[in-house]
Amino acid sequence: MTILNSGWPVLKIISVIFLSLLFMGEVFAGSPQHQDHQSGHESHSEQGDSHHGKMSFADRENAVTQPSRDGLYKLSLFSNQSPIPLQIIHSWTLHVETADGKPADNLKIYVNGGMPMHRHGFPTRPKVSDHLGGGDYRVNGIKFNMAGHWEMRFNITEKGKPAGRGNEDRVVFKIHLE
Amino acid sequence: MAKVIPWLVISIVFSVAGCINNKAHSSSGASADQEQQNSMDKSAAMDNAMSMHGSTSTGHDWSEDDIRVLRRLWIGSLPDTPPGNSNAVADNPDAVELGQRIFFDKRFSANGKVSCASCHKPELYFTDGLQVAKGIGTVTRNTPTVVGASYNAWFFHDGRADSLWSQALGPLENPLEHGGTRSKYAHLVYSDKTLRQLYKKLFGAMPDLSDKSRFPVDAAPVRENSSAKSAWNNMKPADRKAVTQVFVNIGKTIEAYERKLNPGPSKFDRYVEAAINKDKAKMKSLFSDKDLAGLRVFMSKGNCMICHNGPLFTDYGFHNTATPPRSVKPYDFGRYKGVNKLKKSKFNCLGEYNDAKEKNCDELKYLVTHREETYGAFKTPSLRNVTKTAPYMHAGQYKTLPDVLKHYADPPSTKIGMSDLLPVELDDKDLVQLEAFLLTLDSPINADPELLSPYVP
Repeated sequence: MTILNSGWPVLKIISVIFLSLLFMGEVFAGSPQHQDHQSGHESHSEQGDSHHGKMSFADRENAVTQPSRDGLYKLSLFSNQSPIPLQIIHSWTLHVETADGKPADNLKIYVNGGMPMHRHGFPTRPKVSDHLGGGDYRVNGIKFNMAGHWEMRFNITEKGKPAGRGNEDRVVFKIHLE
Repeated sequence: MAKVIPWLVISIVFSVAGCINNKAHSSSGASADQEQQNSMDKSAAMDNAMSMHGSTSTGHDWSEDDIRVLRRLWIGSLPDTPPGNSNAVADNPDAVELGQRIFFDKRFSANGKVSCASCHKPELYFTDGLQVAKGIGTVTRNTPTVVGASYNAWFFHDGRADSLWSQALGPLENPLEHGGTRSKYAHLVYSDKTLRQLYKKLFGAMPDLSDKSRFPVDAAPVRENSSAKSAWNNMKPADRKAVTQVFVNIGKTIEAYERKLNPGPSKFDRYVEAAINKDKAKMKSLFSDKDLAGLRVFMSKGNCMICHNGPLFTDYGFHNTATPPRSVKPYDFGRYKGVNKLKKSKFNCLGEYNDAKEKNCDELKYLVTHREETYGAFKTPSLRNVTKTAPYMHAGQYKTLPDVLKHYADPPSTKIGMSDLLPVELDDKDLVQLEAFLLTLDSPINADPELLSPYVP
């Protein structure tokens, strides 16, 4: 909580509201879709961890697949460099399919993330800047500056549609780096 | 929605409690909410500690997870010096010689009294022992070491340079440091037979600087030096470029020299080797109980490894750690200002003085610029040989290591931006142990001894 250790009362209040909203987010995430997401993640992690002895996310074969929060998409994520490097900027691939399994190619995707337990973001500002076709998008500018628990969060909107619930969906991948 | 309300209440209580006091979780008569809050806090702390050290082993017994963590801190995990891609002479022995000559040469200053080594003293691990650096005048920041500097992506406390050579150019023209001008330095190399020969070997013949009406002795685009600035503005663009190129090449030789200065193995590293080999007797002979306890605090509840990780005990990144600003204004906003200076610098990775055929400037391309992450943030220093680099923090705010450790145990409220620090519970004993552990990081510099003093032919 020392992030709130500011001399400014206003900032403290804003932070309290912000944190409360975060917790509310967790509560919303208790909806059935979220449970899918959780179980989806775990089953794939297990598979990923033992696949050819490689870490989850380490390459396309060990990609981790999750549905998005509202179930609009199914997403697979993996690093384009294996093993996943520390202190080196590299790219990842996000493969997106619609709920009925078709590659989704007309999307605007934003990425962010970091180490939630350490309350800091990535040491870089990654971008989904290349659409590769076939539902693949390149996530550029990823850098991990230490081992531990990281999150990569994506916000996905269909191009030409206004942002907002219904058109917009999101997903959080939890990545443990050793 | 009914499910939301109790959670909201808990989260607000949790947040407010955190705001008021990190340590306010031990009160008696805890309500259900309080208990839940405590358990949430504990599990978060546990998660954190587990992610840090991964096990509950004790004494000199280390689990495999612990060994993996120790190995990451071990100097044996330090890769080769990263390629100095933007510097074609980064690994050229003649550049090392020229760089070493310049590093110790006081002529490279406005008054003939300041060299790089005036602040980066080899006997003090290339620092100066002062709160803030003194050259021609006094600056506002503490002198960082140059040992191991080549592993960084960013230079200066605010990372306003993205190569070691471009960093070296900053102090040379800073009116408070060396205070000279690029044309002065170009003339100096031009008129010194030895320097000029070495220069020619590395970069080809120097431009003919003999016409002083075209190449004034003191000219540079330095705002604070109006005569040098107006002399600079009167030069032809091609002549300005020729002089700037010589200046840049001087920086590149200084980088070549500094790349040769790296930390050597410490007692801690020998301990890790013994731990990897499960050699208990050796481990015990190397680490006292206090050293060992300190290492365990460092790896777990101290939260130190959130920033001080990897073989140089730094994540090479920027953090706001609530260090008190100097009493003298203006306040130092650290990385927040550094990113703007970096983007504007003609000497950055994207600039014309980058020697790489294919420029890889991903660090600049994916630069973190937003205020929340940069305001009041400063670069994480290495902890290797930390006993030799006092005073501490970006402006030398703390004189001793115990002062620094006290800061982290009970940080003051931030005056600038928001602190990245997570709550820790460390008592006086923990701090004494941590200090003992930090002492085990002392080591000699891993460099040819001849590089640690002025060049001798």
